[in-house]
Amino acid sequence: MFNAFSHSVRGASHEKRDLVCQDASSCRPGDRYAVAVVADGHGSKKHFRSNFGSQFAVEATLETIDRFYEDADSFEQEFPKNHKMVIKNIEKQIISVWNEKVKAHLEANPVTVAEKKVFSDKEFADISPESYYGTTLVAAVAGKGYTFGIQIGDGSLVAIFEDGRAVEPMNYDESAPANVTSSMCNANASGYFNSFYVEGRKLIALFASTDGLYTTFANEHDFQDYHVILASKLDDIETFKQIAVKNITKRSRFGTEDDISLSCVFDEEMVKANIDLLKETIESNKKKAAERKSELLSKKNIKAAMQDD
Amino acid sequence: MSKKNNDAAEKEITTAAQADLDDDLLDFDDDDPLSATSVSKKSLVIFFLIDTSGSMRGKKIGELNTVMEELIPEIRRVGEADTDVKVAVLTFSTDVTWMYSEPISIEDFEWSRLRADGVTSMGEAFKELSSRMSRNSYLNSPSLSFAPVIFLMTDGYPSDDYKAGLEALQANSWYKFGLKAALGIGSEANDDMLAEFTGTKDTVVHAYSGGQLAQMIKVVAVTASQIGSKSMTLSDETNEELGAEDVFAAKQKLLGQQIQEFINNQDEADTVSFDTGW
Repeated sequence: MFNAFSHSVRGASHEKRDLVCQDASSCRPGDRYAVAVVADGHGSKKHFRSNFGSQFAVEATLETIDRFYEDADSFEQEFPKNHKMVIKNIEKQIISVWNEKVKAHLEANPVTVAEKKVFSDKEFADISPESYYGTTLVAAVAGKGYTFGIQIGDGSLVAIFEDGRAVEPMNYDESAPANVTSSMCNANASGYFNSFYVEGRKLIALFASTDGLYTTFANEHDFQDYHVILASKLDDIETFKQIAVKNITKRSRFGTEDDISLSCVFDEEMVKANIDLLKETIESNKKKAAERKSELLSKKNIKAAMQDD
Repeated sequence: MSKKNNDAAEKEITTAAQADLDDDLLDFDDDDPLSATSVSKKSLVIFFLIDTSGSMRGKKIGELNTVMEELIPEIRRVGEADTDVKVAVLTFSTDVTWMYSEPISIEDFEWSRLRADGVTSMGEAFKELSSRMSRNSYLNSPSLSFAPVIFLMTDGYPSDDYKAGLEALQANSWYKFGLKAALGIGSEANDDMLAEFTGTKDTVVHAYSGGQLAQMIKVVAVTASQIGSKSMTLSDETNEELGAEDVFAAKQKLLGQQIQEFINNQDEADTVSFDTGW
């Protein structure tokens, strides 16, 4: 049985400026597959409806994955054989559903005078309607025998497989500048997705988060270690919820003050069977972190020519 | 949607609905197992580029060492509010040398006293800085939120082709959007060349004595750190959003104004003879 979790917190900076949370997140637990999804509305001036855009992105993802699983037996059989093509189709479908939702929302809720008055006529004419709703999207899917994820724009995916180590499985395609400019609202947005697919490894947990979480860490190691600690708490979901919600609230309050969304899918049996391994990994990570810091502070006066470029 | 997952969806643990947080949720003082990976505030890197060539030998380098040791606690106070400040020190003489192998949190930073010797490889220092100012190198912290502060201190003219190094630096986006200041030490330092580095004369200052050196380093470093770590996404006057270039221009202008204001007040209060200081 796959279980799942999701939560979004409004950033402290948004609270101060009385802005709504631009993030959205959701999840779908299940026996055969589970989905965790987060989206981060851009929130800047021309993306003035991005809180709706992120919600639509989350909904579009859950609906699309469900649709692909309508004939679950067939999907599970065919998907591993053609995973690249199927993932591309999922991405295209998500963009299509999102655009439909945006269109429907805009028709039901035309741009108001208040929304428009902050732009000159020319400025407003230059903004595409999809841009009003601009958002990122990160989705994690756990299935029987495979794990995959898709992403457009910034955000993170962290997986923990049977060895108990946290890995970031996404290989960013340099030609698709995912972490710089891409968005659900880009023209030809489906071309900007990055994805990963892993087969034959037993998944413990797969986390998706918006960049509001990542930016509260001093370094990449801490970010990965954090997910191992999270995974070690998944054996008691009620406690996990309390710990995770409290911590991302704290991170938003005392970190970069951005909205934060965290979502995950996990295999309940794998979590229970590997609790000791996860705890050992946490202890090992702590030791390594202390060693790294000690080594950093002890290395002084490094000639530039001696460093690796 | 498949039936099984439909059923499962009913058991969904939580949705993204923004629930009001209970008061006890905000009590962060109790045990948090996730605190092993601490929360990093918005972070800023200050790069000090320091001339340690032979002409700096004696009183200049001695004074500089003392000032920098005193400066660290002052910068620490800048960061106390809402910024994690990291420091990277690149010295240049015949060789180009980093004090630490990567930017160090101001909380952990300890000044390593510098010695002066050799020629002035400033161009090489610019090239080295440019190669390190990258998301794949010294600016790789996830919490990095601000363009860096870059503070150059020198007492003379470069002995290598500094223009080639400066060209490499000028092509680096972090340099373009970074807050730049320069301090000329003694009468040999060339303000025009320093202004080429900063892009404006307003953030070039001069120190002709040990006392001035201490004041200038502290004022420039602390002011630049304060301005560098200021969030400027909205313009106060218009409530319009500022782009990266606007933020850079506004910060560099503010730094120039504050430095010039200090210098003007300083001139009135304490005029120091050019030649008596060293």
